[in-house]
Parts: sequence; structure tokens; C-alpha cells
Amino acid sequence: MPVHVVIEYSPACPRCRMAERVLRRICDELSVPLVVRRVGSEVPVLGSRFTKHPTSIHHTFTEEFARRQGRSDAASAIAGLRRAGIDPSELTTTPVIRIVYSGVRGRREIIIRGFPLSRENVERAAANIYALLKALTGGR
Amino acid sequence: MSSVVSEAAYIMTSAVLDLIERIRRWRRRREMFERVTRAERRVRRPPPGYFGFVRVGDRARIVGRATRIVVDAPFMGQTEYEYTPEIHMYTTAEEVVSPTWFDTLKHLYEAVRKGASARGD
Repeated sequence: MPVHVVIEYSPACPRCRMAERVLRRICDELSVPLVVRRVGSEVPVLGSRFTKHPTSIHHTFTEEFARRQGRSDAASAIAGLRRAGIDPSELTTTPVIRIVYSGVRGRREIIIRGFPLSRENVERAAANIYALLKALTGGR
Repeated sequence: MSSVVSEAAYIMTSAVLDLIERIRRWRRRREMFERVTRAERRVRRPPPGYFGFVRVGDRARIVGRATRIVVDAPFMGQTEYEYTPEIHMYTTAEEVVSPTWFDTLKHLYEAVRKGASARGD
């Protein structure tokens, strides 16, 4: 099954650095193409979090999306933030890992938002992603 | 003398008859070739430079892009084209770290499939 991985990273983000390092290692071992897409800003004064850089998941921080998924608590939280003057869909959320694969029933994407930083969690996440990619590539 | 005349008359007559016969044969051949050419023109053919799949008469023809190898197979019918939308499954880092990661993926996939069947995709 053809698989490729896309990571959307911000340069001033330790989680992105960790995710990229882990994914590079896994993808090199499994011979899976890794696409690195840079979003966010490097300017430390402005802060990359508060600059609009759309990623693959910015639309998930909307009330409409949360309601469609049946998450009324998330919808009310987003509504509260918007009332406070913060639109979460306008913020840059990185890292985003997209595992894109195509099967007989069309193209599918598994989108992972965020990445852990502690050593234990990184190892667990790496093991899970490795197992998933190995299963998708047919256990080569 | 008379034998020479009769011989000459025979040669001339046979030459004329041969010529007539040959003309008739040419006509017949030309008609046949025209018929074949017309039949060939009726069969749909890919334009020069075309590659990939094309239906030629009752045959399915595949022309190689780089190699120009032509493979013919009997045309068994066209499979119905089915549109499948792109499916996106959203997870978080917490779910990736948890030991039930593959169960989460399974639930997500089931939910997406149910949603797609409810929409009629």
C-alpha cells in the first residue's frame, strides 16, 4: 500500500524538533517518504503561536467541526474562547503528523496533533507510529 | 503464309483478351482494397502518441508510455467507477501515547465508515 508521511513543523518548537527526529528515524528504517512542511514563524519577538499559519487541522478548532463530531464540551470551550477574543482556529498548532495512505477504497489520512516531550511518552509514541507504519507498508 | 497470319491473329486476340482479363482483375483487387480500407477506417484507433488504455473495436489495448509496447486483450467490460471521498481521521498525541492506540484507530475508522454509509458515499 503506498504510504507517505507529512510533518508540519514550526522552527521555534521543541515538540516539532522531537517529532521530526523520531519520524526521520522511523521513515528511514521503513523506507517511507517523509515530507517536511514548514509552518510558523522564526521571529521570537512575535512568537510563532500567535501568527496565522494554517495547518491541516486549523479547521478542527471550530464550533461547527466540534458539533459535527458530537463534542459539545469542545464546542462550548471554543465558543468561550471566541467570546474572550481568542479564535483557536487562527493559532498555529504544531506539530501535525499526517500519515497518508491509499487503499482499495480510496485515499485516507491519519492526522496526529501534537507530540509528547517526556522520554517515556516519546518512546511509546514512536513504538505506536512504527507499528502503524509497518502494518500500512505491509510489514516489509 | 496462312499459318503466319493465323498465328499472328491468335497472338493478337489472346493479348487483347489477356489485357481485358487483367483490367478486370485490377478492378476487383482495387475494390477489395477499398473495402478493407473502409473497414479499417470504421474501427476506432488511438491517435499517434497516445499511451495508456484504449478500446479498439472489441479489444482492450494498452500502449506503453516509454516502451510503446502494445498489449491487446479481449474487452470484458468496463468496471463501474465509484467515487470515494478522502477520509481524514484526527487523533491527538495523548491517544498516540496510550496503549489503546490501535483500538482508537479502529473506533475512528468504524465511525468514519458509518458516517460515509449514512451520507450515501
